[in-house]
Amino acid sequence: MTLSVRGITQSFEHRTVLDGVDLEVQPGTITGLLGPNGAGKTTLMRIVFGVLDPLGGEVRWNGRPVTDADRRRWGYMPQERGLYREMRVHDHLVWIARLYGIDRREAGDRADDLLGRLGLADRARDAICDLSGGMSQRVQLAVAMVHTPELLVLDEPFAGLDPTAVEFLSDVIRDHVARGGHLVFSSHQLDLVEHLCESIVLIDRGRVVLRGTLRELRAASTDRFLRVDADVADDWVAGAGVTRLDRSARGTRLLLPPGADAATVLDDVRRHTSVSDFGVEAPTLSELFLAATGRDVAETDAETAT
Amino acid sequence: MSVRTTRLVVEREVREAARRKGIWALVAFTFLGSMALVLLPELLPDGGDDGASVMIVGDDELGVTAALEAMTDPELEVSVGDDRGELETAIADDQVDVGVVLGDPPIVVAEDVDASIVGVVSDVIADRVVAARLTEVGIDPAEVRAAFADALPTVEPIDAERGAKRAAGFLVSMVLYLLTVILTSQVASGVAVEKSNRVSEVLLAIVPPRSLLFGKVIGVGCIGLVTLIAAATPVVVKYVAGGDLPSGLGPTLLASSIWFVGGLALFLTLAGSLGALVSRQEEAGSVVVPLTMILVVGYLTALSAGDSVVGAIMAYFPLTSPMVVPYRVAVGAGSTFEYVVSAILLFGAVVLAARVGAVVFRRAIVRTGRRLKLREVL
Repeated sequence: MTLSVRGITQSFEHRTVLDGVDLEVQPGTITGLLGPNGAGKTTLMRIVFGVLDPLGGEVRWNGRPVTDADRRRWGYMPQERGLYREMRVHDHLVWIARLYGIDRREAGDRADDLLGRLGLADRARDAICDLSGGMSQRVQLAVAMVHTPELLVLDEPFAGLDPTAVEFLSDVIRDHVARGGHLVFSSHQLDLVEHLCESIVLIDRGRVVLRGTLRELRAASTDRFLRVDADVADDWVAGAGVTRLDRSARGTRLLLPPGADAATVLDDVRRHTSVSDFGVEAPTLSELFLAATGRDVAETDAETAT
Repeated sequence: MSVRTTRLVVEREVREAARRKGIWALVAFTFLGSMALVLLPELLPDGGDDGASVMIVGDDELGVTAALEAMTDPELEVSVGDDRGELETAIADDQVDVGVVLGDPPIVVAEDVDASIVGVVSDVIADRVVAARLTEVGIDPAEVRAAFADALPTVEPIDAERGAKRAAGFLVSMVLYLLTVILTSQVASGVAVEKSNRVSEVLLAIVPPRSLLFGKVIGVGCIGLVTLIAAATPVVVKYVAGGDLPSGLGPTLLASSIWFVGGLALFLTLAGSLGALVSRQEEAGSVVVPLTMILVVGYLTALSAGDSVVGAIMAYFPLTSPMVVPYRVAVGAGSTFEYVVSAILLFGAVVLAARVGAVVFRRAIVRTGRRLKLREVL
């Protein structure tokens, strides 16, 4: 079985939000739908789930147009927490399971099982509004999984999570896929999730800009970066033709110009400061995004946030 | 529409409502209000006519004491005092209601000079004085009395219970009005909350939009019915037990039930679909303002002009009839024809609202970000 999204087009009030987007989700593969905020990821997921009707294109499941019955065997976790805040955790899960047509007793068993697996067994009787953000995120995940869906669609599941929660959620995602399930999630934090994705679809302004595995995408790029654990000033390496430097607390990443020798650039740096750790690296996902669109993901996020 | 999913939505709505203290406070409040309405007439003394007492001082040459003692309606307890001082003390201490100082002229003393008993006593004294004077000039007082008895017109009240009926209509209208307003805003804000926190998005992936809308309407409507039953129970119990009810309350309650159910279905369906237009819970109040306005107009019309021509016209409009008709039934202003046509129009409007409301809800619930205008989704 494969989820196959073809040529989806959507616009709101004459503004094109999605422009011929294709997406394939294979069983046993973690697919990441990545891009900056406002790229159209959420709209695409809502179309996949039939919450919105697209202007053009179609969603196919198992080689034929998707039906409502198919969709009831999928699980969806929206970006904003879609839960009744005043309901109790266990009650909420049971209720959702019953909406899926599972009988009350079976629903109760599944809720117990899921809450145990997600480390929420002792919070089952609490109201959801009394849980922390990370905890209610897990309940949201449990809601999406309570009917053991064939396909899980998670919209920005990592947003606002601490590193422990990110690791926990990554394990749940790997586990679902390892059992042969389908999974697609969206994220604007490209570098956070690049190693989790086995298949990547990078979208920007409603269009797919890159697709493939991380390895394929990196192999296709000729860009190479020199990473040094020191703060590098622009004029130290200007002679070698280096014009792009990204400085962070961990050091500096320098984009090597085509044909430049990494050792020469490293020597230029070492003339000014000592370097104890360095490496030549392929571009990260956000660097690939920048190369493909000419826009920085972080800056794009800042634009849409204001 | 899936009956199973709608039932589950209703079930959740009712169960979660039952957890909230506010609902029980509302139910308890209406129940106690109804109990008070039913029990108060039993507890209050029936007027002040029975057991009135009179103290007489002075020489009773005219036979006033005997005449007062002979009274049967009202019956009077007559005592004789020594002097005016004793009489005034007795009145001040509430031992007697009225005092009579016989003399020329006789004086009636009372704390409440407007009380009917003062008039009764004054009449008796006047009668004795006039009789004495007639006898002095050689006329038989009995003949004069007979002549007066013929001449006095009989006073017949047209509708002795009109006041009670108005009171019943007033009370029932108020309960229905308050309940409908409360539940209408509850449905709108409930839908707005679900839309704003994206519960609806999760649910729409599982259930059809109609189940969400009608599940909430029916669920909240059930809460309204529980409240109405709480209000009606004391009245019905008393009616079955054969007690006296404030006149007009029985038929008013029956009519109220029909128009309440119809009106609730109409207003809650409209409120649910309008609630889907907003994107934040805070905006839910403003979106039902037109509905609340119509309810206010209907309510005020019922109170001020329920039995007028305006009331008769408004009894036919489905948006105003739920407020106006129960009042008209209470005071007996409308005809059977009017009630039947009004009910048909009301339930026809409910069906129409359900169809249009479902379309508005389905289109609006998925469009987030800003408040939508109604014509954008029609």
